[in-house]
Amino acid sequence: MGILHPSSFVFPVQREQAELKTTVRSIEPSQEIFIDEGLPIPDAYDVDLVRVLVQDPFCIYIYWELRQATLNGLRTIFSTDDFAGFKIVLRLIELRGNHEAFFEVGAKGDYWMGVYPDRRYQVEIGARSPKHGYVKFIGSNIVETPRGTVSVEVAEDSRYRVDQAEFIDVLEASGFGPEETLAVGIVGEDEQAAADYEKALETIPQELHHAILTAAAGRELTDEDIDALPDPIKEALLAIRAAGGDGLTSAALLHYLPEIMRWLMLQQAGAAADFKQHIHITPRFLVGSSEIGIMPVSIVEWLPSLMMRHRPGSRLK
Amino acid sequence: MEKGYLALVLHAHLPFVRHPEYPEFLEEDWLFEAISETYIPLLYYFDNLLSEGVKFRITMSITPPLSEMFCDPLLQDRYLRHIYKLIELAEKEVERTRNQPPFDETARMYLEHFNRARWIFEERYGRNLINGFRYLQDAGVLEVITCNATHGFLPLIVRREAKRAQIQIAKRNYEKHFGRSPQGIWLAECAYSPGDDDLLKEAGINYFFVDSHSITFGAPRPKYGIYAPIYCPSGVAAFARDVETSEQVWSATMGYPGDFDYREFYRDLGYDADYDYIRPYLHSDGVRRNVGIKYYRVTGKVDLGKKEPYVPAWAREKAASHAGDFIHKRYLQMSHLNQLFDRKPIVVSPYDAELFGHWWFEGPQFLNFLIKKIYYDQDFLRLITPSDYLTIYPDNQVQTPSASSWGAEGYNRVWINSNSNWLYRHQHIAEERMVELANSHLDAGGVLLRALNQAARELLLAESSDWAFIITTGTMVPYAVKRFKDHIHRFTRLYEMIQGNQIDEGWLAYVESLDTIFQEIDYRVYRS
Repeated sequence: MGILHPSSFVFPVQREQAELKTTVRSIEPSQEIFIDEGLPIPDAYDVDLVRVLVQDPFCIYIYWELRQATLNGLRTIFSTDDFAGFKIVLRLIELRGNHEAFFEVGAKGDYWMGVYPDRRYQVEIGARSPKHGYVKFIGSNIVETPRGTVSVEVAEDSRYRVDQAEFIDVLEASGFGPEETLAVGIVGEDEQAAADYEKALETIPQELHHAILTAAAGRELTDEDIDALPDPIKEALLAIRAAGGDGLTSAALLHYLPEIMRWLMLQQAGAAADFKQHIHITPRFLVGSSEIGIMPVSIVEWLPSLMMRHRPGSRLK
Repeated sequence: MEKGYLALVLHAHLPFVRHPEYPEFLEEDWLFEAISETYIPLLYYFDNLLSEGVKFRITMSITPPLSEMFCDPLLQDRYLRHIYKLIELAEKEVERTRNQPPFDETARMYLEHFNRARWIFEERYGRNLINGFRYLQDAGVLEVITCNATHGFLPLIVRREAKRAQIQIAKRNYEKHFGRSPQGIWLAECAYSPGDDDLLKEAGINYFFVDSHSITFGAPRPKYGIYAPIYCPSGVAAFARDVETSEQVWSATMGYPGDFDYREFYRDLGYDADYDYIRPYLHSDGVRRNVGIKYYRVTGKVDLGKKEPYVPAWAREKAASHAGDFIHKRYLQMSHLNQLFDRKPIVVSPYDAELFGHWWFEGPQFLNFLIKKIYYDQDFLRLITPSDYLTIYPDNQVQTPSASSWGAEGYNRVWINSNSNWLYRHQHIAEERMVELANSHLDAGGVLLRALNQAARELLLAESSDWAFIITTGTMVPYAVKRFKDHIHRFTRLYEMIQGNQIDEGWLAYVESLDTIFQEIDYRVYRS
């Protein structure tokens, strides 16, 4: 849905004054415009909670809030010295492979976390001490990251089963062939984001460049091609290949191009930057809705420092 | 004999904007502009086609907030005030341009356009456009479907009960307005997560739409790609958006609306006219804005000041020509798909309804030509609705579509990002609290019942995906923030009053008078 009105009392349409000179004959009154910023809402709710939301196949958003009273509960179990040894931690669990990672956090906060596609994740907030280990306080909802490319699963019902070659034809007819998916670009008109994107394009490592060109030509990727990719993407492609996906690993690589480009822009930004979280990079097969076409500007922002430790190349499986 | 089918789907939605606390309110213009430029032109053409005996089938989602605004007496009165002012301005413009061709013809076009809008609104449909859509549905040319109650973005609603409420309330609201149950639903922002279809099944809804990659990336691999629906494990059908027809209309570079002969949206009399002349037609703050009278055409990639005059006849010719081109491209597409598949393909082409008429002024004319040409000029393509397709092909592949939306990049980034993330903590707490209230008040009555129902309304209004979308796109942000905070504030106060057993009846009545959506609501829909 594209909100109808292109202008508002705060953001009038930007127009060249020169073009209006011939027609505007009187000066408009200058006015102080009241901006209603809404009624107050609570800063915190005095509850224990942690929630996870999926942003896309490679990123989840986590926020949490832990009451002091809950933390103080540890005092009734442990001595004052032992209590002092506990730190509040966020535990990220990948449920399918049963991987986990701990991050030291505050009692209230939020993080963007780089993750793998096609995985189930849950988060806990707890406390951890070198002496007593981990104590869980609260657990989140469970989320599943989208696959972001074709499935390895083939229909059991013989009426709907398609072989590899047929499926590639179907993908191409559906707009997901190499020529459609290769074209990705920045959504909006942010010049800096566009410049960063161009720079990233110029600095694609040779191995990755080769992999993309191979995929675009519809040829199968080699082990070396796949090795050049960021870990989460590499793993997805290997899964497709393991399921007999010759011919489809190329398509899958192209489906992941937006994430690859974001990854490259991150690499280029270097140690000073965490993650260009707010840049929309869209493949051509998604062009075509008000949510895309009318989006005016992409804003570049940097994520909290946690992202530094979990860039796409070193994400938790 | 047809080679395949085309399902045109128009998604009509605006957030619930109604401000009785002010004598006028800028954002209410969204509705008024869409009524004059989109909804009435569509009704006008569909009605005429029906009268001419043209057989066609179009699917339209009319969202519950839009339906509620169509029926609202305050907004109906304000729309009439709005259109009468426009008629007055257009009459002046006819005089002003009398000897200035080609502007005179365009001025007369606007006067006719506004007079017709007034007549259709007031006389033909008795101030309530629901009457028009219901009439066309009952006549068999429209299939009106519903949408999430307040366009809530399902993948970012955590509590299952709150997701269910978005669907169940939408269904009841549809029944109130259209006198039957909805066959299908447009999931807000085409946003879907596996399992959401179970909620549709519970509501008796037979089909919904997803973006293309939802099916192509679904499991198992789809035999017919995006050219046949799949059944989710729940048995509800999912239809995928066609890439090619989307691009023909939406693409900034290749899309029809950018044709040089079509009307230029951004060159408006509200900015061009002498200030004293246009002042009576602006809002009371006196700030120049679009008034909806535009005399120039797209012309090309030139500054707004260098646009050339609009010629209605040229634009009409282009709309006809583009309709022909659209059909020719479907012929090529169908011919190719017939070689691939052992059944007739369905091309599903969903668009925001407001594109037609508001952004793309000639859009309704294009649809009119398209429908006529499909009916009179060819036999390889037939317009149908998803329900029609499921009658023709009741057996379809079973698949779990991939989570997806139709926003940039195809997932949730447009609605959850570093500008909009702060919304969700408040929204989710309110969802938890609403479920808690519903579970702890099994059979409320009197003032308590009113407070519980109003709490549900405030939560639903806070959940509108429109606020996050506006915040992300960076236009009109203060209004989106205001709306979200107002609804969370009101919900929180209601929650505290209900829990504290101290309901301020005067304040409750005031809030009830502001946020009037869903008078039929029953808070118990939030029970676990």
